[in-house]
Amino acid sequence: MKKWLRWWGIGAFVSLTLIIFGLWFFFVDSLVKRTIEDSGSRLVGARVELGRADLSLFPAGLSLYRLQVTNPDKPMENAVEITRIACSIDLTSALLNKITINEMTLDGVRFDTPRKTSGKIKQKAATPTIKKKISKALELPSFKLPDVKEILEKEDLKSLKLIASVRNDIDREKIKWQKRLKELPDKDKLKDYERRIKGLKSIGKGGFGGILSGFGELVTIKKELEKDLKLIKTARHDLDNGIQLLQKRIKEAEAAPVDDVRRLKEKYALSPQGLANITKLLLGEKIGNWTQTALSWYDKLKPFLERSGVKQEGSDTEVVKPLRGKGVYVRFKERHPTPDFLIRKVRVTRIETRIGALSGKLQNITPDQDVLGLPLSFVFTGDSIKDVKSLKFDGTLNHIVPEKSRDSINFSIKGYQARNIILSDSKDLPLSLQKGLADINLKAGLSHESITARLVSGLTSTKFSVGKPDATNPIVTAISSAISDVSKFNLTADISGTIRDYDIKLKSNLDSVLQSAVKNLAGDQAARLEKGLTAAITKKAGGPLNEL
Amino acid sequence: MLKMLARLLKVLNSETDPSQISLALALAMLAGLTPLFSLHNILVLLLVLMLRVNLSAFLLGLLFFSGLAYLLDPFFHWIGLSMLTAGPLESIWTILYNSSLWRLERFNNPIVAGSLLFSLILFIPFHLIVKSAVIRYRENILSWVQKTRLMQLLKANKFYHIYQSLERMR
Repeated sequence: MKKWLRWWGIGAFVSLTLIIFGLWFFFVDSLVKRTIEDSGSRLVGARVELGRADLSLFPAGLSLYRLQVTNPDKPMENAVEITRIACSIDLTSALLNKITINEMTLDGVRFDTPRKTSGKIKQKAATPTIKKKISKALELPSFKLPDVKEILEKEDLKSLKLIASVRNDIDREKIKWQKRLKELPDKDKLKDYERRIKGLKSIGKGGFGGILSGFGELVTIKKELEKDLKLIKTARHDLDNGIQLLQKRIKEAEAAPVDDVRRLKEKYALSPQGLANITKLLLGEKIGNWTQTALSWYDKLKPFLERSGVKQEGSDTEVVKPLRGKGVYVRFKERHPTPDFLIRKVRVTRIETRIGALSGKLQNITPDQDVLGLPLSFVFTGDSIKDVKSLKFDGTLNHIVPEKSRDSINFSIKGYQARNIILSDSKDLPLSLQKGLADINLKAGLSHESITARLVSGLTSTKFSVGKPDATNPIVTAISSAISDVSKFNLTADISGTIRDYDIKLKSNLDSVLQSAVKNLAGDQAARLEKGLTAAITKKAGGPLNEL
Repeated sequence: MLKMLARLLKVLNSETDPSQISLALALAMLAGLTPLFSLHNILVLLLVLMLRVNLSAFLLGLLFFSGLAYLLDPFFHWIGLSMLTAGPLESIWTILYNSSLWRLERFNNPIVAGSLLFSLILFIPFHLIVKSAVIRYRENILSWVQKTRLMQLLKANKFYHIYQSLERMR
């Protein structure tokens, strides 16, 4: 036995264990810091930085200081910066290789803070996930009377093309008929018939044989005459048809300039109907961008709401991918099921926003909602915010049954003193809301992939300002004057569709105000444009038309 | 590399019991083929230090098998996953899954499970084969190796001086 035992080995093992534990204790904070930075950067797609991490065993807890998460779309800006995060960890769960944080406290949360260095990291090109519905193509209509000469320079006139085509048809028909006439019997042929008929009279003097041969010749002449007559009749019929067709085409060519005038007028003249949904033109892009940003972040947060696992058929075994790292873990039925990762409660003591500080709490953050049986819920409020009477933002993200997930978010602001909000930076109509008292309500729901959201906002005591509009344009002046008189403004935005392809519908009282303001002026402007176009197009098409 | 080869020859040519060498290599296989920071490797470390196994052989073996494990990981994953998802074994895994010790062992990770099973099955055969190989080497090959031209050439270069210096230190 002694031959096989090395008693000093036990001492060496204990010493080695203590050294490893000591080294772990000494370096664990750096290790945690590095792990959070690496995994966070990989998940967000931009640099995640941590000032310091402090892990303690008794009591089990982790504190993180100055966490910065770069905005992947703006590398010189942090999407979020948190001064301190403190968590208490459940050691019993840690023994089961699970992370359960009973309570987490977040202090000093700020959004969109500037960075000193770029937070961009090299990443594989991601496939576009969310389709942008509102594009730059939605532009305000031009309020200036367009120049007829400029229009005709860039537009192709269909009438000119049609006239040229009719001209070609006429020429082709002429050539065709010149050929055809040559195939018809001419004067020489008629004289030949005359000569042959006269010849028949002299045949009668040759007795019975002469009469018989004369009769044969008569039959032949008759047949030839009938054949020629048929040819002439067919030719005449074809000629009538050709003439009819050409006359029809000429009529079309004569009407084409009028069609051109109508088409160009519709395209270039400002119609009251064109202003029917000016709200969409003014605010559509902004709301579209907000929706897209919200959905992009939702996409990034989805791995924290549900885990991608493959359930084994007919058993309780499930192969799941861990949140971080590579490989898979196989999960079996637990006596007392608990999630692999769970933050029971997050208290946010202070979130700094542009309008003031908010506070709130989140509950049940886990990618294993199916195990926990409870959805993630959150509520944020702000009662002492500058310029806002009250603010509430709450919601539930229910992924207990991942394929039937139901998320709902409510956001409401009451008594918001809006000031100097730019609604449109269009050159023709630079519009801003100088002041107004707003109540805003947003209710959004996401059932698996389909989204429905309704934003209702009502503003009273509004004062709009139209930057420096083109004072020489009566329509812009009329719009400015109408907007300046608007003291109440309501807006309803409806978003529906799927998270990858959604549609935004906007309605507001501005639509009807503007429509009635420009109705007469737009009509006058269109009439003037029509007159100019008619004169110019008639002049251009007149010559070729007369030649037909 | 030369130092490592010298160490290996030193171990093989020494008077160390072949069982001590083979057990060291078998334990190195267990620790090297399975993920290093696994619970069972604490036990392996205790055994290596407590039992009179050859430490040089263990360290050399650990280095070799850790490298080999990278190549064999897909194979271990396949073994582990097949084992963990096998219907008849589900009740056993469920019992283990509800135990803290086995959860800390991370047995439900297919690579851990696959590599551990593979090394445990091979442990005794590997130990016996290596032991017999060392005995045969010492009986038949060692004297022949010493006489080969290659060995003569090696004796003349830097490698042999390293080997000699290690011998003197013994």
